[in-house]
Amino acid sequence: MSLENGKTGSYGTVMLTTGFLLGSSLVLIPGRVAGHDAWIAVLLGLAEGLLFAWLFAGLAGRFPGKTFVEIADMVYGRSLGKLISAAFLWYLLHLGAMVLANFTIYFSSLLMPETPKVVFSLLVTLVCASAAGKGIEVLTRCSELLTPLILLLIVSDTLLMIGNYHLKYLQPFLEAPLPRLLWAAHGAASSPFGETVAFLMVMAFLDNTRESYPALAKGLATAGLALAVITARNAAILGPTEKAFIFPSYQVITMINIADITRVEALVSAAILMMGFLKVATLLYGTALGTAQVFGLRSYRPLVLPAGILMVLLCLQAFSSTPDMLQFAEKIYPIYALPFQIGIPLVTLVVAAIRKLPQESR
Amino acid sequence: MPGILLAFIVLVAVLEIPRLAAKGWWRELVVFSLFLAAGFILSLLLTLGVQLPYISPAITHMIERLFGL
Repeated sequence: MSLENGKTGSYGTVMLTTGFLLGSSLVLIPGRVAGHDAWIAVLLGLAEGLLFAWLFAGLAGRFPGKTFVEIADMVYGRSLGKLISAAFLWYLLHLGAMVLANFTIYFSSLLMPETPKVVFSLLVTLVCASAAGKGIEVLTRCSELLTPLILLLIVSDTLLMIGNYHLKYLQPFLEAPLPRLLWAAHGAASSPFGETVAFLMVMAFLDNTRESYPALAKGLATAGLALAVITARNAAILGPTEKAFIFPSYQVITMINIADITRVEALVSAAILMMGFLKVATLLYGTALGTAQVFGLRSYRPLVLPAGILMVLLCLQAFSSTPDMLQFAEKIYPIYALPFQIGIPLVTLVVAAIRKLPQESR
Repeated sequence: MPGILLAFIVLVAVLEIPRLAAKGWWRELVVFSLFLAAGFILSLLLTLGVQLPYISPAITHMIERLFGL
C-alpha cells in the first residue's frame, strides 16, 4: 500500500526544486568565501550540483516509484537498510532545523528583535506541517504559485537597483586564489545545490520517471542563475563593505528608493520566507513519509506534527550564536553534508548495480 | 518561553491520540507517541532552564577531530 497517492507533474517539480534551492540561500548567500568573485563560485557550484542531481536522478530512475527508504530496504536488506534510512532521515530533519534557524535568526536579528525565537519557528513550522500533511500535490501546487512570484521579485529588485551598481567593485576578475574559489564553489554545491538529495523522497511521485533529471536540472539551473545574479548584484552594490554584513541581500534591499517609496525590506523578507516555507515543508514531508515507511505505518500524516515539533527543538539548539551559524555554514557544513549528499546515494547506486537490482526481483 | 511548545505538544496529543485509537491504528499510535514524548521531554528540559547542548559545535568538534583541522 502506498502512503502517497498524489502525482506531480514536471513543471511542478521544476518549481518546487527552484523554490527549495532558493529557500535559505536568499538569507545565507552561498559562495561568500570568494569575496566579489562569489558569482563565479556559485556558477561553478551549479556545475558540481548538476553532477549530484545526475546521481540522484540515476538512483530514482533505477527504482521508479520508490522513495529512498524503500530503495535502501531493497538494496541493503531490511536491517541495514533501515539504519541507512535513519541516517538519511536525520539529515533531512537536521537540514530542516538549520533552515528554520537561518530564518529565525534573520527575522529576530533584523525585523522582530523582541519576539521570542520559539514563537517564530513554531508558527512557521505549523504552516509547513499543514502543507506537508496535505501531501505532495499541494506542495507542488504551492510552489507553482509562489516560486514564479519570487523569481519576478528577484528580477525587479535587481532592476530597481540599477542606478547603484559600481562595476569596478566586480574587478579584478578572478581575484580570489584558486583553492579558495574552489572551496567556495564546493560550499555553494553543498548548500544549496546538493540539498536536492531530499528529492529522493519526492521524485518517486513524478508521473513520468524519465523526466526526473530534466526537471531537477531545470530547477537547479533556474535557482543557480538567480543566485549568481544576486551575488553579483550584492558585490556590485556593496563592494568591499559586503563582508561586514551578515545578511548582505537585506542591506541591498534597504537601499531601494523608488520615488521616495523606501523601506520595502519587510515586504521582501516576508516574500523570502515563502521560499523558506517551501524548503521546510518539503523536508518535513520527507522526514515524516520516510519515518512512516521505516516503521511500516499506514499513514505518514500522524507523524508530521511530532516531526515538526522535533524540528523546532533542533532549530532552537542548532546554533549557539549567529557567528557560530556563519562559521558552520562556511567551514564545516560542506564537509558534514558530503556523506549524505554523495556518500549514501553513490554507495546505494553502486551496490544496486553490483547486485543487479531491481531487475532480478521482478 | 519554550512553555508555548509544551502547551502545543499537549494539545497535539489530546487531539490526535483519540483519533488514532478510534481507528485502531496501534502501531501508528506507538510511533507517534515516541516522537511526541521525545519532543515533550526536550521542551520540558528547556522550560525548566536546563542548558541543552548545541548541535553545530558538537558536529564541528567531531569533524575537526576526524580530519585533524
